[in-house]
Amino acid sequence: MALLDVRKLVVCVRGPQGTTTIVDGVSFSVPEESAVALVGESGSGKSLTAFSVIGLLPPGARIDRGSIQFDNRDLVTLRDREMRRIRGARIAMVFQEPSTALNPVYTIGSQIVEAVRLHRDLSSKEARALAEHWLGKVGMPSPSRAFGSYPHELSGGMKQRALLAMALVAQPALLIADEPTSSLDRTLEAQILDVVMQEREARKMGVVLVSHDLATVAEVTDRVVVMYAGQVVEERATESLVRAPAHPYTQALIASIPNPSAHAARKLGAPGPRLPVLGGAPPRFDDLPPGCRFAPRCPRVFDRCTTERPPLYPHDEGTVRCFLYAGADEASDEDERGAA
Amino acid sequence: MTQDVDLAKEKQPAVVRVDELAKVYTLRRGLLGRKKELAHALSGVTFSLKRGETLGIVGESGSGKSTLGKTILRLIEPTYGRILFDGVDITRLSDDQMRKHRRRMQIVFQDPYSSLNPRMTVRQIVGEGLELFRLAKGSELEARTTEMLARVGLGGDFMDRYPNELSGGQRQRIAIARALAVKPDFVVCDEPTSALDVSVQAQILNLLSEIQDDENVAYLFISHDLRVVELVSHRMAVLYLGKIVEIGPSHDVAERRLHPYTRALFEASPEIDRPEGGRKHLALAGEPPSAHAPPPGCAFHPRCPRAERGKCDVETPTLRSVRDNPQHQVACFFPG
Repeated sequence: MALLDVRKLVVCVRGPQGTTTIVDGVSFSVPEESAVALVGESGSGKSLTAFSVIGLLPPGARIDRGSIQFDNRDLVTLRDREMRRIRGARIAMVFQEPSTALNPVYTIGSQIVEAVRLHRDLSSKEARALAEHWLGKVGMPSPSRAFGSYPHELSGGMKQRALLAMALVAQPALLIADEPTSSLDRTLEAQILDVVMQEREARKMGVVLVSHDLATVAEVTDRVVVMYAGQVVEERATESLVRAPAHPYTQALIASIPNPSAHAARKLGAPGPRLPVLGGAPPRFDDLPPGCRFAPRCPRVFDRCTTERPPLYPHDEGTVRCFLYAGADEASDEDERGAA
Repeated sequence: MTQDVDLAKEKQPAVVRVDELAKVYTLRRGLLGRKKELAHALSGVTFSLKRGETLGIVGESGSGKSTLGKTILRLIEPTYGRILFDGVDITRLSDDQMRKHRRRMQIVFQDPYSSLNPRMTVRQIVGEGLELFRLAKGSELEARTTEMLARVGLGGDFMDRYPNELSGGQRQRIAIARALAVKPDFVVCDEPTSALDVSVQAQILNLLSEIQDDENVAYLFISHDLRVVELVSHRMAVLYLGKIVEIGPSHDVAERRLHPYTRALFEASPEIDRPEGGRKHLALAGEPPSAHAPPPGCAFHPRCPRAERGKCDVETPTLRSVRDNPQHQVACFFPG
């Protein structure tokens, strides 16, 4: 049984022009000890999906329908008080921007100790020892010095390590990381992801890694959920998705990753390299195309795509939302909304 | 390409040349700021750049990449060294004297959200340089602005929009149109695609390539993304704590990774089709030391897997040509 099971999640955002559905029927699950990537470009709904799981939607956004099963409970139905007990203890989160996630007026140490004592009954001495242990574990060169530092005294990488220590100190069953390394150097990214994946193995922790960068997640996750315009368009094992992407959008995403080995060395005076480009932009949520949401940009579009909404079809032990894979199979029953 | 053509290009004068460029910051520390500390943000940086050439600059944050770009444009004043622009020494020119060179050297910043004035329309942003340098006015200004917008793939309906009405990719196109409108010979591209989605990044990289093909403009292309730099640049330089530790034709640097730091950067860089085993575990531990307390000897030795005690922590390696390739230089006692 999966550690986390998100079913037909619908998230709406209230705006000046009324309510808009941003996450539209998203389903995925995270088995114990597995790492699942939510991949998509800006505005795909991947972050709102992740924030729904931990109950931290921004003002104006709310879960409209669907369920989030975790620890034999549906998180969607929990009261704030109950959710607070789960957040931090059973599900922890690492954010993209570590400087805004840390409180500037408290030392790193006191913030981690607070996180520990919120969920565990420890003396302040024990809590401090535990905090320093974790600061060391996430690669802080001098844990006791870091313990007494204020956030502004640390580099971006150090802050992200501190945040990770704070998230891991309660030994959560599930870690959600929203673009945890996109503001960091690749060398630091490698270090941070390494710590996360070691923890996952050591404690069978589940990981949801939200990223716009397929190349980063490809190396560390088991499954990838590709999102486009608020929907899942492909969900498959990472290795096979990367090797043989099925959805034309996933194919375009992979093709646009710079791959120098596919190009000759540059010579002065010779034309520069050209990358395959996906034209256009994602649709606006208040002006969605009548058929497939990707149809206006799709290089393989045909008649049916412009009039009918594709459901998720089973494909290679996963699913893909594209009529190219309609075949004889019935659509995955997960998805009455898309098929409607 | 034959060797003759390469030699002909070789004789072309450099559009930009920097000699032993250094930037030293003085930090005041301690009570009443009496203690002074020096931070070497850049030291001994030397290279030249030809017309139509792209030199990529890579390194971790704090390596001095952005400082280098801004120092060449004299947006930051260099402490030592010389900057030659099209053969003219611009290192000590007054603001007035700089003015006539400014048009020919431009910059595109990383964050198109903060580099465009939110109170100006696209028309004003793109046309500003043309007016400022008295390149066009009236109907010609209008025509040139429209032409530039078309050049970066935006229609005339964008003219009267404000930056906040545009997506990140559209803003970066405007920033490029602004920089290129005044027909510069040299553009510093400071992480121009780092804030963009991959599909938009591909569009912007193609646009920069097209413009270079047509206008023969030289780029200093700064990025923390090695794949992007390897792809777009003719040569690349690897910066560590303000010094070039390896420089050469991009393909050679990427393939041979002679400096252990270059190797570590490439190994930390994610690859979508890495054969097996995933990312190498901890290609590089720790973070760069701070520029105001650099380690003695080779600045990289505390993080270097190849460092030898008594050598690397004592002596400072200088850039030397690789035996079989004079274009390729590396500053390491144990390259390879």
